[in-house]
Amino acid sequence: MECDRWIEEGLLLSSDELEENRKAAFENHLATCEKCRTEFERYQEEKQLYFTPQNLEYSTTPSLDERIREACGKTPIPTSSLSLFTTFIRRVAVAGLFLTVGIGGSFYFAYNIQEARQLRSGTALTHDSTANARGTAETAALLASQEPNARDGEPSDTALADSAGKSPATIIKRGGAGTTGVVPVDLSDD
Amino acid sequence: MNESTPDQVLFDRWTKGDGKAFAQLYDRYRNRIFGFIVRMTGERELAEDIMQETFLAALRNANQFDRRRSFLSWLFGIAHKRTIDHFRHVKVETEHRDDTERSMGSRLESPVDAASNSDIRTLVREAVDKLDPLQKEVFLLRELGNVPFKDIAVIMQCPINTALGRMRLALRNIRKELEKRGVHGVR
Repeated sequence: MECDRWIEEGLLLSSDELEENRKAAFENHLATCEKCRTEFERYQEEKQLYFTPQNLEYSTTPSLDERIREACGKTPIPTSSLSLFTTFIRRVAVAGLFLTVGIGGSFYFAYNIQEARQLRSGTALTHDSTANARGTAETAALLASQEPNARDGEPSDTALADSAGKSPATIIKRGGAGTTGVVPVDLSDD
Repeated sequence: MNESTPDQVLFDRWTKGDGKAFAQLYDRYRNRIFGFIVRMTGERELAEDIMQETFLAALRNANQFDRRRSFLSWLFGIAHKRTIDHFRHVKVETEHRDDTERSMGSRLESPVDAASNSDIRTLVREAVDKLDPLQKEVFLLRELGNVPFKDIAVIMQCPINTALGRMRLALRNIRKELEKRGVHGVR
């Protein structure tokens, strides 16, 4: 198998990138390996004869040169220390703003939640009795609308029960015309 | 300021507003950068636009230049990125290869270059222009830009061994082309 150390070490040596220990080892290798030595030396000579900047570069035109000089002359030059400092200040300011908004927002919401809780607990007793009365009236209205005898002009069962002092829950719901399969249920305690 | 002033010194002066330092840096490397971009794009006019973008980008991103690195490597990295970005934008990478092969003989000749049509320079250029795009990139970055292989790997976003392999293939193919045209190996 042909030796191919020159491909990696030879190229790295020519670009001055080979570490000292590897450089010494490769130079020793060149002394004994004809293939690597031939390739390495050929490349060095090609670099001097053929791969020169003069052979590879392209000439710019005076108009291009003028255009670039003018453009670069107009571009503001960043000052290294000042721009670093201003960048730092800008970043600190943005971070501070986010922190302030975040903390302030958290306090604001926490305060509002706390206040809401206090309000709710402070008026809880008053609201319960009112809610119960309201609930009873709504139930009565619902039952009244569902009763078969709740036709125009006739007293509903609910109305009759109410007049008798009984709560809607104790009314015997009678089936009759207009009802659809409703099973009468005696809810009375008697 | 003279030719021996190091690039980093000129660059620092340029970023502080020294127009002469910029002019010196520009004159030092304009033909190399331009040669790279022209070969990558295959179009002189397009190459001129990208050339301008390259130097403007270098100026705008001056803060990001690591002074321990070679200025030319850094500049080539910017030129490479601008060229690749252009092709991504217009999505003509495949067309680029075809156009390059078709138009290489006519579109890239400048009035200055046409006079030396038969010399070794033309033969070398034609051999390089026939390379596979990836091999051409590595070869030009290394030979024209003097970019180290570890930086080439970063620029081309590939492992260093891949960059070395492409360089080996580029050398082999250039030698083949030169031999076809009667330019035999140096030994």
